[in-house]
Amino acid sequence: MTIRSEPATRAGGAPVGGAPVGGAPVGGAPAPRPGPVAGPSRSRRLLRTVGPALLVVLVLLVAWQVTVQLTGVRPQILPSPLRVAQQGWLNRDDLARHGLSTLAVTLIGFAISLVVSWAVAMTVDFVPWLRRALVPLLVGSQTLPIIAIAPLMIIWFGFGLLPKVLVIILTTFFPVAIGLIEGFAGADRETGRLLASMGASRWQQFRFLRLPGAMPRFFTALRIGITYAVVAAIFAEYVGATSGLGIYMSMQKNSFRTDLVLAAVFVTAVLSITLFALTYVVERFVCPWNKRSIDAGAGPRDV
Amino acid sequence: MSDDYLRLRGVSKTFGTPNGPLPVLDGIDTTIGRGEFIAVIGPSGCGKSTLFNVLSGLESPSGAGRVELTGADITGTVGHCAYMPQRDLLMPWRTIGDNTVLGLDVQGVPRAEGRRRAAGLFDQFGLSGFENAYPAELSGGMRQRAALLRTVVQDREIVALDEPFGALDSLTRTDLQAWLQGVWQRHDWTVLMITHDIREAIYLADRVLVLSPRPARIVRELAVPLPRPRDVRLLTAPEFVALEAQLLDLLHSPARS
Repeated sequence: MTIRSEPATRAGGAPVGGAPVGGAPVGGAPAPRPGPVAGPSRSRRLLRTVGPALLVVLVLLVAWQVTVQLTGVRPQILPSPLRVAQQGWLNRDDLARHGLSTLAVTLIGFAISLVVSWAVAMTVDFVPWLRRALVPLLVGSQTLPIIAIAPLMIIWFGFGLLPKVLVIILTTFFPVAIGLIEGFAGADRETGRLLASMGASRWQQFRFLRLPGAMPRFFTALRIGITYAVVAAIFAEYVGATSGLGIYMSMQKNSFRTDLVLAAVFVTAVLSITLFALTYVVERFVCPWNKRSIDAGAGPRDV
Repeated sequence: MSDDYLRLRGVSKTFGTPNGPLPVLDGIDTTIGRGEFIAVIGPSGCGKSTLFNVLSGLESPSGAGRVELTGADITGTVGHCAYMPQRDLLMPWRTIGDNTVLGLDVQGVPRAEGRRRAAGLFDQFGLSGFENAYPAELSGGMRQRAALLRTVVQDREIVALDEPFGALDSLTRTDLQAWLQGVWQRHDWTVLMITHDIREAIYLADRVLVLSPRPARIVRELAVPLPRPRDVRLLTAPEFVALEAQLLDLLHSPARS
């Protein structure tokens, strides 16, 4: 499917259909922007994207349900998916409250982690010897066993926000910072020389070349980071908290409510997938050229 | 046309390598008039790009070599020479309009003023209507014209083109050569163009500088006294072919001696 076949309007307001722009060499005409709403084709595209995944999930759920019913296993060991849904719905207020708490912790922790990783990555980019000094430390931070550190954080900093934020930073800082550092460093050298010949300062080279050039890698790192952040938040809560899906799961497990543990797992998955999908929305706004380059059929995306 | 607009005086360059010093340029001396179109031709790897880096101030010559512009020493200073590399290097995240004003952005020219200056050239460069397109949406020839627009809109004293059409297919290249000749005649750009293509050199240039294999020296400055505007049919004219033969001899004999 090409965008060109849809009725669309160029920025200038002149209608552009499938006809090439007058006088322009064939293949050089910019692809018209997609129309504001392209109803059926858009939902069809959505179905094609998520359809296969939904189908697999559905098959697994049916298999699960059938297994539980045929074997008659006790719900404390393995509840059926229908029971999980039913009990989850009955406890929706609790799940929502704890879910929102986890969401807040995740967002606060990840936001701070982003600020720290941007600051470190930019510093490393401007002071090359710091790269050699700091990158081994970053790698080291990733080898810390969170499972051992998280309980210590609770001992040191209590049940409040701080230990959870620290666990999230420890988990997500590395992938984001490395993505940025390599994104900045991966800038095209020749373009750097071109800017230098124009008299660009080090800061201008960063602003015009290294920063926008790092965006694809940054968004890849952001996607990895945000999913890690949810897991880290839940883990920190599991170890000790007053609210959040982690402590909720821990409590339900202790009272053998396996069905509610799984309901909380489901809420966690929805949370992660939503945040993950949001990064694509943000990327679309920050990097509009990617989308349009793909529409123009300009080869593989530069990620 | 004043005769000593740009002067290279004894420009040499030697790079230090693990295997000892590597001389790349060996005493380049020449004078270029204002508004002249100079082609620089030589065997691959002879140091043409180093010569351009010295010219644009990105590298300083070794020893006592100097670059002078209207009598002033500009050795090792950037900002006099607008440089266009072989690859268009258009930034995929900038629209064509924004790409063409990159040099003006660097100079701190306000966006609106930069856009206004570039807008005057979009028509001549065959890019009208593509200001808001992204580079990936353009053909190779259009991208190369956009890169040239980005170069000349900086309004520098010298325009340095490093094999500007080297990456294009031959039909597009011929079209762009004819077009470049046209726009050059309408403006008073002083152009130095590196090329590997003997015909391109003769077709476009007022004078061809022939470099020796590394370390590069100027072995010959060949004037091209063909009248302008030059037609594509000139490529087969006897005087054109005679110049071509001379250049072929020059480029292929020193390697054997």
